[in-house]
Formats: sequence, structure tokens, C-alpha cells
Amino acid sequence: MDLLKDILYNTDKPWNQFYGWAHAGWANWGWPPFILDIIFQLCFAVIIAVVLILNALWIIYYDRKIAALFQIRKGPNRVGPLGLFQTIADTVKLLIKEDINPKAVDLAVFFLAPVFIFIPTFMVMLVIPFGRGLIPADLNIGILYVMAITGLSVIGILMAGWGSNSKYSLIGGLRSAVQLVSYEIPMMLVILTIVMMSGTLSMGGIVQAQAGYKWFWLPQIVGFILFLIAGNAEVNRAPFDLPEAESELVAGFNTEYSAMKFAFFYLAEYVNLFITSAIAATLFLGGWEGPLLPPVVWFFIKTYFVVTLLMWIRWTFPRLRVDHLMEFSWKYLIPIALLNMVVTAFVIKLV
Amino acid sequence: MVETLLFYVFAAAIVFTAVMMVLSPNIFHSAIYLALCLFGVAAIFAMLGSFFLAGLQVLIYIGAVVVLTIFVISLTRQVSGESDAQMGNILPAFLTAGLSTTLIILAVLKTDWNTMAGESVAALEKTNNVTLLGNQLISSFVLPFEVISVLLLAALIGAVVIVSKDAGENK
Amino acid sequence: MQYGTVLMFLFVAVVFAVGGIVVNLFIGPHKPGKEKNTVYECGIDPTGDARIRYSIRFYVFALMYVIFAVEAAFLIPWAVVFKTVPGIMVLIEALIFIGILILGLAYAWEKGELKWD
Repeated sequence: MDLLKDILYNTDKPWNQFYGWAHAGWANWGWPPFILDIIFQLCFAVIIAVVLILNALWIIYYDRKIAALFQIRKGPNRVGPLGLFQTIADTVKLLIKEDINPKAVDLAVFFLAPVFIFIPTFMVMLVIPFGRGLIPADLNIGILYVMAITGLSVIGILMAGWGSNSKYSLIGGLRSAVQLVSYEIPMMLVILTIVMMSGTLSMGGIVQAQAGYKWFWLPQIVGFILFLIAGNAEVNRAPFDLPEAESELVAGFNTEYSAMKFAFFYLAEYVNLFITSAIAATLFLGGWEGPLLPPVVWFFIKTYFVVTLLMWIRWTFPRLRVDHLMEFSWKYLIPIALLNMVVTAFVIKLV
Repeated sequence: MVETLLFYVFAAAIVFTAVMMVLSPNIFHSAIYLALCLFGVAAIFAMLGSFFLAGLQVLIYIGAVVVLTIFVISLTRQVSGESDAQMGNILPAFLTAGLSTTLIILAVLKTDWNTMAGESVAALEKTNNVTLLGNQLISSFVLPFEVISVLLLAALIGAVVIVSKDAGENK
Repeated sequence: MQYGTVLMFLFVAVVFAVGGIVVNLFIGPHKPGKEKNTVYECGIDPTGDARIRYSIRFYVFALMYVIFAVEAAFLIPWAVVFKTVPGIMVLIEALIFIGILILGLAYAWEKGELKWD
């Protein structure tokens, strides 16, 4: 019973015991220790992959149900109880569909683009603190790693736009890329402000800096709002869904994609939504901290709170115009984020 | 042993992608090879225990500079297909590249780097060289730190000037 | 150990993504057709090359992103030590640094380069 409690609330302790025990046993076998470490790393990666898939299946269903709620309709309700298996059915359908390569595509680039878009979304999961000690690797450059790796998806989007040999794809890809880089800056500035307050880059350290319910959303309410706006733009969802504005660009950079390649774009979009929310929960809502319930449950409650907020925004606001979109970031978000940073610096030093 | 093996894997990847970047006839493929090459360099940084530099390498060089390069490619005269063959310039190019590489290697070998050779990578994972860097940046290297912002300002103004000249010609 | 995990995640991500697409290639049907393989252009035959030259506006924003990313890169170590270093100098140094960049942003704004046309 105590062990179960430890696993749920203090994952560090039983894990360190198990890790030491496993290494001791491994040493008896006479094998070099790094092989055991590699096995552990592979286990982490596979566990995260399973979490990512299950979570994506659920979040897509959840998004469709929320959309249905907002539009006073039923949403998916045929496959399985309450339509719960709808996403699984969709995935299977995409898996057995024909993979079409339109003529004159740049085959290597066309094939690699969905791979390049999926890789960053998976790799960012590495530093997300799901609970106390429940983090695949608490890198000492944690939040910088997040910024760097999410920046990579721009290359994948440009590859998709370029490789497709379609005008809609190219315009959608370029637009998407320029939007991503424009909204990356206010996000970075807000993250810098949080780093200033916590004095560390590690994700676990940022959660610890908020311990005792001194969550950063209250002192950083401006930053929190900026982060939500920029984050919403980063995941290309309404009101910032210009790269895939159906009425002008068909489907943006993934116009020519079909079957499993399309599925990876779709998967990446929803995983990105989850990651942005998880990082918002970590930076502003105290991560896994909370009373009574196990930390991991609190983490998911907070993350899904932000997810719901973003979905609410998505289904309520109309799409922005493209010139407004760019000016909104450069003329409003970035100056406000800079100002927020300077004011925070003054408050930290002078108060 | 693993680290040595990984080092050679990454080094081979860097050399291969760098050569492919130069030789690829398609300019867009060159940009992708450049991104992969820079990623290999970031991996080498991480293996040397300089995680912060590795992060910056990915953030700035791949996330920003390569993206800029791709935008520039979409502005070039002959966007798609094979680029013009420029074999006439190959000897001067080799000479310039060889000479500058030799100079850089000589400079690297001559400089006293004052390294932390004794530190193992595992130890560096525990400590934080970002803190060290930050403390240096605001004490010994304040002037370079401020000069960098002037440099960035110059780059920004230069970009604006280039583009507004272009807009003037169109009118 | 920790950074080995990064490598392992990269490996698993590549296997996962490439594996998914390759499995799809094997079990999906494969019936190419002339009409089916044309790129989408509202149902008519596509005209001209799709890889057109594009607006220079994109270049300006990408370049400004590079500049601000470098700025952020230099401010990260500063932000990490900001709280621990005593005195007001650390604040003034950063204010000068940020101030010079705001000048650049203001210049671009004044020149109308932040407009999208």
C-alpha cells in the first residue's frame, strides 16, 4: 500500500530504488551498465509513444465533441459507446487508404516532410514533467530544448509546401512558416520572463520554483494571456488558421497529402495542441502541484483546462485577415511581451 | 566506448551532409542537407557537455537561419529544378575554402582554450554551465554583450533598407 | 544518460513515423491514374510551375526572427542568473541591450515594414 502511494505521489523514490536494484542485478551478470541504460531509455520512449497515441486519440474525439457542443449538434456518436472509437476507426481507415504521389512531386522531400513534422512533436514530450519525478529526462536546458525543438517543425512545413509541387501547398507552407516564426518571438520573450522568475531552465526546476502554490499565472497574468495567444497561433488553429484557410488555400501545406502521411500532419497538430497546453500548465499553473489527488492527475487536469480554453477560443472566434495576423504579432504581442519582461525585471530587483 | 562510436557516427554524418549540400544540384535539397549538417554539429556539442550551445545551435541555426535560407531560395531567379552549373569557378572556390579552413584549424590549435578537460559529461549534466555563462556575460563580457545588440540593430536596419529600396523600384 | 534519452527519442520517432508510412504503402492499394495524380487546382489542369517566386515580405519577417532569436539566445543566460546577482547593474545592462533592439523594431515599424501587403 505504501509502495502504491509512493509510486503515485513520489515517483522519484521507488524509481531510484528500482534503478539502483536493477543496476546491481545487472552488474552481477557482468554486462556493461550502459546497455541497461539504453534499455531503460527505449522503455521511456515506447511508453511516451503509447501515451502520445492514446492521448491524441482522446484529444481528437474531445475536440470534435466540444465543437459539437458549441454548434448544438451531437458530434461523433456511432462507433462504439458515445462514439468513443471514432478516432480509432479513422486511423484504421487512413492506414489502409492509397498513398497518392501526385506527379512532379519532389519524392524525397514529399516523403520526409510528415516525418520531419512528427519528430519534434514526439521529442518535446521528453521534457514535460507529468508528475513528481515522472519526467523522461529533466534536461538542464529544459525550456530551451522545447523552444529549439518546436522551431524545427517550421522546416517540415516548408518541406511539405515545397515538395508537393502545388501552389496551394507552397503558399500555405510559406504562410504557415512565417506565422510560426512571428509568434515564436512573443512566446520566447514570455518564456524568458518565466526563466527570470524561476532562475532555471529545467522544467522540473520551474515547477519547483512555483512550489507552495505560488503559481506564476497570477504575477504573470499578462504573460499567461500572451502565451495562450501565441501558443494558439503556433498550433495553427482558429482564429489563426490562415495556413489552412479552406476558403482560400484548400488545406494549406498538406493539400496533396493522403493516407498515413496526412495522418501524421493531423496527429502532429493535435499533439502540438497538447504540448502547448502542457507547457502552459507547467510554466504558469504550477505543473503537477495540487492537493489530495496524485500529481499526474493534477497535471492532466491543468493541461486539459488549457486545452479546453484553446478549443473554446477556436470555436468562438472568426478567422483573422492575413495582414492583421502579422501586424498583431509584431505591433502588439512583441512590444507588450518586451514591456512585460522589463516591468518584471524592475519588480524583481526593486521590490 | 559508446561515446567514441557516436562521435564517429555524427562526424561521418556531418561530413556526408556537408558534401551533399555542396554537390546537390537542387538548391532546396542543399538547404535540407545544411539543416541536417547543423543538427550533427549540435549533437557533437551535446556530446562535449555543452548542452546550452547545442540548444542554441538548433534554435538559431536550424530554426532560424535555415528557415531564412529557404525563404531566400523562394526569392531566387530559378526557383525550381537544377541550378546553373558553375564549374568554371571550382578552382578558386577550392583554394579559398582550403585556405580559410587551414587558417581556422591553425588558429584553433594555437589558441590556449583553458578547457575544463577534467570534467566528465555526466558531471556537466548535473552542474549548469548556463549559470556560469550568465555570470561571465554580465561581468567580464559586458561590453561584447552590448556591442552584439548594436550588431543586431545594424542587421535589422540593413534588412529594412534593402527591402524598402525594392519597394521603391516597384512603384 | 539524460542526453542519451534525447537520441533514443529521436530514433523511436523516426522509426514510428517512417514505419507508419511504410506499413501504409504495403497494405494500401496502389492504382495510379493520370487524373488522380494531378495536383489539385480547383479541378482544372494545373497551369505553370508551382514553385513560383514569392513575396519579399516573407524574407523580412524571417530575418527579423533570426535577429530576435539571437537576442533571446543572449538573454537566456542573463535571465537565469538575474535573480541571484545582487545590485542594479545587471538590470541596467539588460535594459540597454533590449533598448537598442527596440530601436530597431521601432525603425522597422516607422518604415512600414511590419505591414503585410
